[in-house]
Amino acid sequence: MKGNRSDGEGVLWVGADGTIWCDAGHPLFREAVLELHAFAELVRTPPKVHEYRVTEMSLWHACSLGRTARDVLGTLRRFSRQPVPYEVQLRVVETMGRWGGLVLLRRGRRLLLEAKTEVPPEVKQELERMARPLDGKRWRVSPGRRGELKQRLLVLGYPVLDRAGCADGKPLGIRLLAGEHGAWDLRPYQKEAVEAFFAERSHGGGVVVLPCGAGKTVVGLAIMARCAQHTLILTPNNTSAHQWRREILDKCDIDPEDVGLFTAEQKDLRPVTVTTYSMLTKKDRRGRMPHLLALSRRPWGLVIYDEVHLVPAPVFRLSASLQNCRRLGLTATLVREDGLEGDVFSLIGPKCFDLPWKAVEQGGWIAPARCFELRVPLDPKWRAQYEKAPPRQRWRLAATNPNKREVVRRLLEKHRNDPVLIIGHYREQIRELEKELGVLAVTGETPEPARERAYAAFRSGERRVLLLSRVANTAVDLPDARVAVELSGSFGSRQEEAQRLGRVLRPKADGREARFYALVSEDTEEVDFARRRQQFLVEQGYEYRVLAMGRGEGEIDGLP
Amino acid sequence: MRLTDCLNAADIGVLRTIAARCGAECHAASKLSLIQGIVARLGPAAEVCRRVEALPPLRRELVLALTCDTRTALAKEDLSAAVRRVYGSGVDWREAVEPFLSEGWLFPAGRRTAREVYHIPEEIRRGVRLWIRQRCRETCPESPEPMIWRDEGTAAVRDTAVFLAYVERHRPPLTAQGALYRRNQHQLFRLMEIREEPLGPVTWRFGYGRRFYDYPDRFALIYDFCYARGYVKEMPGDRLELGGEVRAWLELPDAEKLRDLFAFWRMLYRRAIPNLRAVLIWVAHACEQRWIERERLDRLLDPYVEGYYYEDARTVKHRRIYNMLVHLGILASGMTEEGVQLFRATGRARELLLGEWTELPEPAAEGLIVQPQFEVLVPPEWVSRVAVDLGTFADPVRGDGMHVYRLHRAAVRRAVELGWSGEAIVRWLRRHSPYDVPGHVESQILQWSGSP
Repeated sequence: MKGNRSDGEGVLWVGADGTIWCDAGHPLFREAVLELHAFAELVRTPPKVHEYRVTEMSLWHACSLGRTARDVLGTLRRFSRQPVPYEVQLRVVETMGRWGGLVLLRRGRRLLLEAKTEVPPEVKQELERMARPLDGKRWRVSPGRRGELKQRLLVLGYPVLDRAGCADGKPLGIRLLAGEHGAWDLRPYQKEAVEAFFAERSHGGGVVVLPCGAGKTVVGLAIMARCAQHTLILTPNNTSAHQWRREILDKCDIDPEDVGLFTAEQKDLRPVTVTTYSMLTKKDRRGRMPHLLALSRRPWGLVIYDEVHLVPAPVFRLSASLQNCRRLGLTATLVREDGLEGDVFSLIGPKCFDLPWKAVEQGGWIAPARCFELRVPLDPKWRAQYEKAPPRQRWRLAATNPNKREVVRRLLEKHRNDPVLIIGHYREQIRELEKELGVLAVTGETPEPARERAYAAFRSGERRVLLLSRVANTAVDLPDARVAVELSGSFGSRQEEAQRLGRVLRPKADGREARFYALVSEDTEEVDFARRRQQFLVEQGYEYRVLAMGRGEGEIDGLP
Repeated sequence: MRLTDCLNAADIGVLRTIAARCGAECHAASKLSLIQGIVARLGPAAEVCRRVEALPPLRRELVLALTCDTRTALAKEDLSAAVRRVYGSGVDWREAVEPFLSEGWLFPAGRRTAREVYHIPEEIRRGVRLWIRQRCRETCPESPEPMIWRDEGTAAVRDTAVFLAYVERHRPPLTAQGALYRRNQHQLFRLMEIREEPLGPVTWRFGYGRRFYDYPDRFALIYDFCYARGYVKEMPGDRLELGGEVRAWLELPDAEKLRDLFAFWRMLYRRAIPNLRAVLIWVAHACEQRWIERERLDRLLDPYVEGYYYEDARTVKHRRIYNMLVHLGILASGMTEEGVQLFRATGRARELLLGEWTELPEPAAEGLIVQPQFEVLVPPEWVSRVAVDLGTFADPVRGDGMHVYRLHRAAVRRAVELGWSGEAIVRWLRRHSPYDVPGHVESQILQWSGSP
């Protein structure tokens, strides 16, 4: 029979609710996961079998990447071991059929929403409330409610294709500089990402999903240069704001006077302004957000949201009022711990480019990496304390297991010639290690200039080991870390883990593979949280090897 | 039996008649020459097709009815029944069959056997099949592949196992009429891959099995099958329990299980649809490797399917034949964008409907997976083997896609009461899982089973 693999050959099983199980030991696993990635979300990664789910959002992202229901069904049928349940097929066709049913168009200075297909009464009702009906199929939308309308309709299950385009901002003289070797070459996938953003179907808003270390910033710069209009860049923190500014001045031909930082220390509103999410959402005494208002009034032509998965909810309000300019989201993952993927989708834009990590790695653009989870036992005394502790403190006790320090020491010995980053969640733990190992540490308390100095020292090779607290979770550029050691993490955040691995994935000059060690206390809650954190990377095709650390010296030397 | 074998066994007088009727060129005095002449004339499939085409309608029907029977030997009772179905009662079957004997369609078996038995040569069967196939292709054009379709695969087998596991776990009570209570039916159907609703009030409902009156179509078949084969027993005191035969069934591969269920269905439904064998042959050929519209199939089957008391012929075709074939994983059912229903035969149809054996690959030697969080994942290929045992000490969580069971104290305690020991449960899990069973799961099971 054509279409289906015969029984026993496939790698997937599909449940009637859209859950997909993927056999991790199957020869077709890799191939299937790369395909699934386009239209399903990873839910759980228990050993042996990984669990995915097909959701409305994941299907619409697939639509925006140009996939059709036939493609999705074709993939499912090709890899499924059993016939695909009818309910799932129906839902795929039905959900993807709603894509493009509502289109927002521009008619002169007005916006017009047009229903290309029949829409249900509840959607009509909502439209009646938020827009002026013209006839049964068209509504006039006030430009101020553009974002809100898209948001509301998405909640009702109807994504709006925004074809109304964008108004141009003020022009800006900017050009990408030629690179060190004559031409500043974008890598092929970066070129593709830029093209995808300007492609017909993305219509002014889109999210580019690239792994950490794959050069998201460069994609942002290239889009900025092509746009050549006033640009607002939103970043997660000061370090990465500074980083952006440096990159712009470094790689673009632009008047340095035109690039300004809008932070607590300096409030420069320039044609290109770099600021942070926390600046935007800062409230004054009356509870308003003055910076948000001030920034949203400027004639931007492009807004860049760096690390889209970190955009705080209030910023979406700014996004709703910035619907008239181009919006670019950059991220390594659309997974949001708060489940606001829908707002990213309707206010910034659907995914316009996506490249799984493994694909980038295979292309040699990021370093290949091996991940290890090292299980560190608790001392009996510590264990007793752990068992007695109320659940809230258990987590902390497991994370700060003193035996981890010993493992770190041995890892440093093993990698005595490599640049190593040690990342932890708890300040005291970092302080203790700092004293014990005599290495440099950067925490939230370290003043900005000292931080920059520490990074510079690490980059230059003057310092081989750097201890980092949570500041390391966000966009810091540390080019040559080959080894990352994760001492402890927050409560199982998937995107955090992705960020951390990203620290070591930048390509190495010598082409050697990167290492990621996660230290996890044996037989504690930490084991479960660690598994949750690792989901994202496993989804991307990375594998974790779990090794039990005894008291002996041999294990770490025995590591491959 | 091959044509030459049939001719060899026949006496020279018969051969001369056949040779004369079919115009074979040969020496009437030489048996060898007669046989060679006849085989050259009657053997080629295209020739059989031509002869079928040339037959008057009623005689053609009889040929089709006889060749659709996949048994190699036909008793005189089979012949007379076939004649009665085609010509109606009051026709002497010997008179009706006589022309077929003299034209070489049908051969009496050697006189050595005591029973009167007839053979249809392989070549004739094959030729008739070819004619049916051509006929199907001519009258039913292929439809383009629909976007989505329903293919139940071997779900019927898995749901049978889910039913048996349910009986083992709950020993459900029966009503005074001997049926499961609605509450139990609801519970059971929720665990099944293909969900049905318990029947509402019914007026007329009979003809398709012992408990057809009590249960919805698909489950009625599953129940009657299990009852007839002795897998479940309706115990005195109105309880349903597993029968002793069930162990042998569990060991069979899914393909074998489906084959048996299908054979049972055919036997069961033949009472109300006497031409069922012929119907299945037509369906198999019409839908082989292509989609065709339901209306076309209806028309093709018109001569073979009649109304049955409370149902007209159309309902019989749709509900009793097509729907059940979909449930048995033999037909896939699709829908065009205009809402026209389409059917296509699945890979199993060749074997089950036409009796043409194909080797299907057995599922790779895998098994179930015990997860650290006390969940047991069972790939659907293994459900029918393990559901009954696993269901006693773990509760089913979901029964579609990957079947998921949860191990917990109450379930383990229940199994202990049914005679399982903690060690036996752990051993069972180890035997059925190619992967390690997590240590803490094992020790927890032992602990649960030890302390009440």
